[in-house]
Amino acid sequence: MKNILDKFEIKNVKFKNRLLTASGTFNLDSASYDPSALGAVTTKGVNLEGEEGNPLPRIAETDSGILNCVGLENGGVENYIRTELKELKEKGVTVISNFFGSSISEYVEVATRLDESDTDLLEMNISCPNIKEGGISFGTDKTAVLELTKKVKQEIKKPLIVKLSPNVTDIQEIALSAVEGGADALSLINTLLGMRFDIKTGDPILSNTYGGLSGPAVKPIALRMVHQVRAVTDVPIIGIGGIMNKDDAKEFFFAGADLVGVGTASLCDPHAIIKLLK
Amino acid sequence: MSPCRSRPHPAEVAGRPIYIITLMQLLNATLIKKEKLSENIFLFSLKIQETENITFTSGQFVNIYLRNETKLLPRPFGILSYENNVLEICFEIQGDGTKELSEYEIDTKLKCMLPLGNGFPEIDDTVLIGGGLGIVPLAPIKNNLIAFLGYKDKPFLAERFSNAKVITESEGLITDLIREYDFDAKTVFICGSKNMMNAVMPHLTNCKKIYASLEERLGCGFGACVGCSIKTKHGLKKICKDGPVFDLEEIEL
Repeated sequence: MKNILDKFEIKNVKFKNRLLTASGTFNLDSASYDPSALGAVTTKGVNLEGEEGNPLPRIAETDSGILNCVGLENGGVENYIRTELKELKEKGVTVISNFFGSSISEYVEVATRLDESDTDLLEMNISCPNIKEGGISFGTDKTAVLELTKKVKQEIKKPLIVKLSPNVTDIQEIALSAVEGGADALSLINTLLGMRFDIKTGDPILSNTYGGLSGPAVKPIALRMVHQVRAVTDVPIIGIGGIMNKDDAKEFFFAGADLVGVGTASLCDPHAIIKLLK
Repeated sequence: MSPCRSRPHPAEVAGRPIYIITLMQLLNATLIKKEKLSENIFLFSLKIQETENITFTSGQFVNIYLRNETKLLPRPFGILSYENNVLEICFEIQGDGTKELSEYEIDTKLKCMLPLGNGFPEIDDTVLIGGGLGIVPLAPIKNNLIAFLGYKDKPFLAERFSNAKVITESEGLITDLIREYDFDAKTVFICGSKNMMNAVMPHLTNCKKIYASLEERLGCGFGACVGCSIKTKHGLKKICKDGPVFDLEEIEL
């Protein structure tokens, strides 16, 4: 029986417990607890030059869920390494640096920079549009996933986690492509694509029309996908999707996850994540 | 319970930065008084159980967490007052969450987080301009010169203001109220709908400074989700953390 307080290891990187923050929900300025108490902190995705993100509104609500179209706002990889990463490492945090790009070459360039930095692991977000191929998401195409993972993996020494998109027909084939490409671990799920309408105006609420759904509403889908991926591979799996409490985390361990990531819960209660360790 | 790290207010007054401490804790609140100010507008008094001495500046807001756990996001409201552990908020029903809130009976328990954001700078002799529920963040200010308050229907909470001039839509618009006022060298604090602000702005070209409290859909309300970023002359800022009050010269509208 896995326990959230157990230690874990991915390719010589040690985790003091099985609990991580999910990318995009941890901010050092807004943390009310000591992040070094966690197994690891997964930082918000960075790319080469940074992104301004989408106009407002970026957030909508649904029963037991949140929709976001933040749009990958970030200050770029160099700025991240100089500021947030430096601060987190000074605090003794195990850091998973999440990154993305709009082309294979950008993914490789960002990964190379992160590999040279003090980050402990890299997490690759593949739910991004492949601008070169007309904007089709990397993560929905098993050939693209294989090529991308291989190209990034061959340039770096640190462990590579590939974060899977759930907006696919067959999560197992995507998972297998990432593993074949050399992924040292898989994290899933990223957000599910959804939308809401403003009842008064009839317009979509989110500025980008569609947004990513997260929170308790997605847990059954996340569990199912973790279960399916575990059935086809032995690589370490980080289970993410609506974890609010210890029982939710247990469900992910039953599904086959080795580590668990908490995201949305931290937005509703800054102390939610640390309560999972009590 | 220790306060979270403090950070300087974007507006420095007399060369002195203002530090604002935020408690990043979910506090326990009990509804002790409920008043219906109009069809959809409510005035709530909430007793906070935790007795730490919380102070706030006008323009800061409070996150109210609904009892229905399927509604994950807090509802943010301007702090109307906070004294002797009693928080006052005034809100209008906008959707499911505020509808649920409006139906809570006395003794209902809920969670809240305050004070959040950066409020108005502490400056004397300001001119306040508020529209509808926008008057709430301005109401705690006592050292203003004058307050122009515009309402759709009947006025509410106007008695909380010093030197208030009131207008309702049946009489005219807030622009009618401010038309003859000399804004030269004055500092203006403004809060209201985008329409109101757009209508009023052309009348304020002479003034020294304008601080506006911006209203947008928020996510977490305390700076973690990056759901409320706006462009400013000094880069992207968060409405919930760097604002909601901004020096309008800073904002790229």
